[in-house]
Amino acid sequence: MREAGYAFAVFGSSPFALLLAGLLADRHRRRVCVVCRPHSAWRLPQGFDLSTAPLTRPPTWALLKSVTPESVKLISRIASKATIERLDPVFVAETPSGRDVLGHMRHLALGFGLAAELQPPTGTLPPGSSAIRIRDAVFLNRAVLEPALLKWLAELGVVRVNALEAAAEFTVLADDTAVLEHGSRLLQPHNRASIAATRGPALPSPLVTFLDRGLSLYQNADRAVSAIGRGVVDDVLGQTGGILGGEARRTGQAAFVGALTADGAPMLGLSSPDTFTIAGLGVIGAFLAPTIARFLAGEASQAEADWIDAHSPLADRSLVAEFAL
Amino acid sequence: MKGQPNRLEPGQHQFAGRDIDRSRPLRFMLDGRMVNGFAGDTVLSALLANGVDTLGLRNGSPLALTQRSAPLIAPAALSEQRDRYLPMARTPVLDGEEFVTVGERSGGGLFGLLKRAGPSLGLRLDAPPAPPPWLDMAAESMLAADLVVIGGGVAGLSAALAAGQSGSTVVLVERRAAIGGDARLFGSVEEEETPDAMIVRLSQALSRLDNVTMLKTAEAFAIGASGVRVHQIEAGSDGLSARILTIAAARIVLATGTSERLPIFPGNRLPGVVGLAEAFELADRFGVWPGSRVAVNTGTNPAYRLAMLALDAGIALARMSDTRLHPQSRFIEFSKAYGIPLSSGLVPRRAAPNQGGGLKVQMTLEMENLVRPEPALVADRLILGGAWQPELTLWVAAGGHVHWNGVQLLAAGSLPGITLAGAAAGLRSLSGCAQSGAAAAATALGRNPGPVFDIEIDPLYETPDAPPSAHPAEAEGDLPAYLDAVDFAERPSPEKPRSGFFRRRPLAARAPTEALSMETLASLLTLGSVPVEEADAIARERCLPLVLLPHMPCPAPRAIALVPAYLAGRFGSAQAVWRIAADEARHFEAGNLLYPNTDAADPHLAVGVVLAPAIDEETGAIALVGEGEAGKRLVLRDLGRQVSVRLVEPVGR
Repeated sequence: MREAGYAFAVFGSSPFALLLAGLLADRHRRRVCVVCRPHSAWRLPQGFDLSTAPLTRPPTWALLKSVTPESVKLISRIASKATIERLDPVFVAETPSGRDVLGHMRHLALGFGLAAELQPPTGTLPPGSSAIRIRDAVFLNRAVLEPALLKWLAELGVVRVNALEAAAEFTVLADDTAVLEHGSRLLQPHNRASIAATRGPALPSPLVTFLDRGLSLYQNADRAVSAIGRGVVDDVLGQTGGILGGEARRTGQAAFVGALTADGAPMLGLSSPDTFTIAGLGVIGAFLAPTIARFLAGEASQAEADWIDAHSPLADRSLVAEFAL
Repeated sequence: MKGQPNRLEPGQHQFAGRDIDRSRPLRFMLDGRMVNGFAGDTVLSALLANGVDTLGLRNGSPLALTQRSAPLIAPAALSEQRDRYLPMARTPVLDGEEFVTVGERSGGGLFGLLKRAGPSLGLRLDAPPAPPPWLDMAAESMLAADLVVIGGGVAGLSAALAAGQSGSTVVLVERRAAIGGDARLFGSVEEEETPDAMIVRLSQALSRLDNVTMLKTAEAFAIGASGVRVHQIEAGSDGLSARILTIAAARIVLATGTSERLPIFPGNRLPGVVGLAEAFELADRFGVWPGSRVAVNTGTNPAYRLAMLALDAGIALARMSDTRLHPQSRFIEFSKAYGIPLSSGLVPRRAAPNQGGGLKVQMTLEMENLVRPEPALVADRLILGGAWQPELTLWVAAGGHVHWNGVQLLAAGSLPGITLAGAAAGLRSLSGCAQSGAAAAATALGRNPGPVFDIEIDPLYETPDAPPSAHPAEAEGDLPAYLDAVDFAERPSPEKPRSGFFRRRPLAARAPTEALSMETLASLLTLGSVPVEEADAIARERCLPLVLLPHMPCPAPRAIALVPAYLAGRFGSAQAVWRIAADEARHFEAGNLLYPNTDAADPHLAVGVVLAPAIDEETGAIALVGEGEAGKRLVLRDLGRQVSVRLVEPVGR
C-alpha cells in the first residue's frame, strides 16, 4: 500500500457514490478517496433519485422505509432544501405482466403503510393502461445535489484522485459506470438514453414511470420533460414521443450505458477479496447510502446486513429477483 | 427613396447595396403596413430600410429585429398553412405581396392583422421562437450528386469548383441570394487576391461547369441517412414558393462559415444594437444603414474596415473603441489615416434606451489594475464586433465533436463522408479558406488534398481577436444580458436569478430541458459557467435541432410465467400455486397478500399472494402460498378489509 493509502477508495459519480464516500469519512471516520467524474448541471441526467420503485420484495421495502427519513435528513443538511422535492409518483402498466407488477407493488406499499392509490385514467396516459400513485415520495434534484455533495466531500477531506492514485485497503465500485469500467463479469452492459423534450401535455405527476416501456419521465414546472429509458436513443425518443404525443420536440439527447443484473435486483458484495461491488440500485440508491456505509464500516444492524448479504453475488440470487425496469 | 429613411444614397462607395436594383422600386405589405423596397431586397432588409427595427417586447424590454432573430412570415392569404411559412431574413420581396408575421402579437391573435405603424413588429416574446415548420416536413424533391457543398463563401465555392473540375457532380447550397459569404468584410492581406476578384473568378468558373448546380436562398437544415435536407425559397412569376429537397450524396463539404457572438452586457439586444457582420452585410448588400450617430465597439480587426468603408460612404462615426489595449492592425493604421477617433481598453457595460432617442451606452476603461467608468455615450446605433464562432450546428447534429480553445468552439475529430472547410474549419485568411475548400473537396472525393496555408500575421502587427466581453446585470431589474442573438437564454444576476429563460432557479439548478445554440454554449464557456472539459459533451447532448419526437407504441407484452421470477422463493422453498376461494363474491387482483390470521398485517408475515383472479369463478383466484393443504383458511387483507379465503387445490401439480 502506498504512503497516502486510504481505507476506502470509492469509484463512482452518482449521488449514491458521493454520499457513500462522504458517510464513510464523516460518520465512520475512515480515510476515503473518491474517483469520480461528476457531470455539470448542463449535461442531461443519467439517472433519477426517487424514494420508491416498483419493488416486489418486502425486505427491500422495509429497508427503504426505515432508512429514507435518515437519508432525507442527511441530504437536507448537506444541500439546500431545494434538493428535496416531495411528489406523488405515478407508475403505469400497459400489459398484463406490467399490471401484475403494479398489483404486487401496490399491495406491498399499502402493507408498509404508504398511501398507494389507483390512478384514474387521464388524457396523457395511454388508453387502456393501469396506474397507481404513491403518495409523498422524495425526489432529489441532482442539479442542486451534486455540487453540494462535492463541496461536502471537500470539507470532509475526501480527496478526489484519479484511478491510478486510488490506493486503498478496500475498493468500492459504487455505481453502474464504475462497475462496468472495471469489467465486472457479474453484470451486463445495456443501452440507456436520456432525452430532454419541450413543453408537453401535463402529466398526472411530475414523475411518471412506464413499467412496460422501461421509461421514466420527469416534468418540471414549465412542463418541459426529462426522460430516461432503456434502449438506444431512437428507442427512448420514440417511447417518450409515444407518451407525450403531439408537438413535443427533442431539446437534447444522450446515450449512456447502464449495468443490468440478470435478475433485476441490486447487487452488493465482494467481487474480489478487496473490492466491494455495488450495482443495479436503480432510482433508490441514494436513499440506501447510510445503510451501505454502515455495512462497509462494520456497523450495520442485523436487518441491514441480512439484506446486503442476500444481495451478494454469491447468494442465491433467485430469492431477491425483482422486476427489471 | 420615399419611406426608406435607413437606405444610403447611391454613389461610388461599397455601401450602395450590391444586391438591390434601385431602378426597380417595389412595395409590399406586412401586417397591414406598407413597406417600400427594391428588387433584390429581402423582407427583412426592406423593413430595416423602412425604419422597422424592433421585434417586440420581452418582459417589458424591446428586442432588436436582426437577421438571426427575424421571425417567420407567411403570405397573408395562406397564413393558416404552416407549410407556407417563410424565413423573413431569406425571403426576397416581390411587388404587391402581402405578408403577415407568425407569432403571438400584442393586440391579439397569432396573426395580427391590424394595421401597424412605428418601428416594432409588435410580437409578444414570452417564449423562445418556435422552430421552423420545414424541420418536420417531407421532401418534395430529390436531387443526387457525388458531393454536396453547404455554404457559398469562398471555401464552398472553391470546394464546388475543385470537385466540379474533376468531373464530379456537385450541388452547392447557399442560404443567401448572393454568393461570397462574409469574405468582403474580412478583406485580404497584401499579396492576396481581393475578395471581389476571387468571388467573380470562382463564380465565372463555376458557371462554365454543367455538373455543378447552385441552389441559392436555400438553407441546409439537416444531414441524415438519406442525404442533406434543404429548404429553398423560389421567386417566380406566380409569386413566392418554397420547397423541401433531399440531396442524396455520399460526401458532404461543410463550408458554413462563422456566426458572430454577442458581447454580454445588459441591453445587448436592444433595437439599435447590431453585430459587426450584420451591419456590414446590410450596408454592403442592401445599402441599409440605420441611424446617423453610430458608435462602434470591437474586439476584432474587421470592425476598422467597416468604419473606413462607412466613412467612404459619407457616414460619420461618433466613437470607435476597442476592448483590447493598444490593438495593432493594418486596418487601424488606415483608420488613423482616415482621422477616425480611436480609443482602446473600453468595454461596454450597459446599453439602455436614451430619453431623447437612441441608445445610452456606458463603457468602462479596463486596464490591468484599473476599471474606470467612462462618460455615457449617446448613439443611434451601436455596432459590436464580438467574436467569431465557426458555424458547426450541422457538424454536431451529424455526430461531430468539438473542443473549446478558450475563445471558440472548434471542430474536433472526423466524421465519415463529411469534411469541414474554410472558417467553419477554423481557417481565417481569404486564401486559406479558398485552399481549404479545394482541399476539403479532394479529401471528400478520396484524392490528395494538397497543402493549405492560412496566413497568420504576427500579433505584433495584427492583434488577435479578443473573446467577447461578458458582464452580468449589475442591479435587480436591469435589462437582460442575452447570451445569444436567437434564443432567450440570458445571464442572470448572481444574487437573484432573473425571470426568463432560467426562471427563478439558481444557476446550478437549471434543468437541462432547453435546447442550446452553439453561440449560447460558447457564451457560457466564456463566462466560466460550463466546465471546459464538458464542452463537447454538452454540445453533442444539447446543441441539436428541435425535431419532433417520433411516436413508438408500447413494446409487445412479455410472456407471463405462472410464478414470475420476482416472486421466486418469496414464501419459502416449499411455496406452491393454489386455487383459492372466498366465502363471498369479491374481486381479487394480483398482489393481494394472504396472512395466516387476522392479527397479521406486516407484509413480512404474509404467507401468500394472489397471482391472478381465477378466470371462471367470481369468488376464486390463483395464489402463491408458502405452505398449505386443501381447506386451510387464510386471511386476505385489502385496504383495511379482511376476507376469509380457503385453499381449494394445488395448481399445476
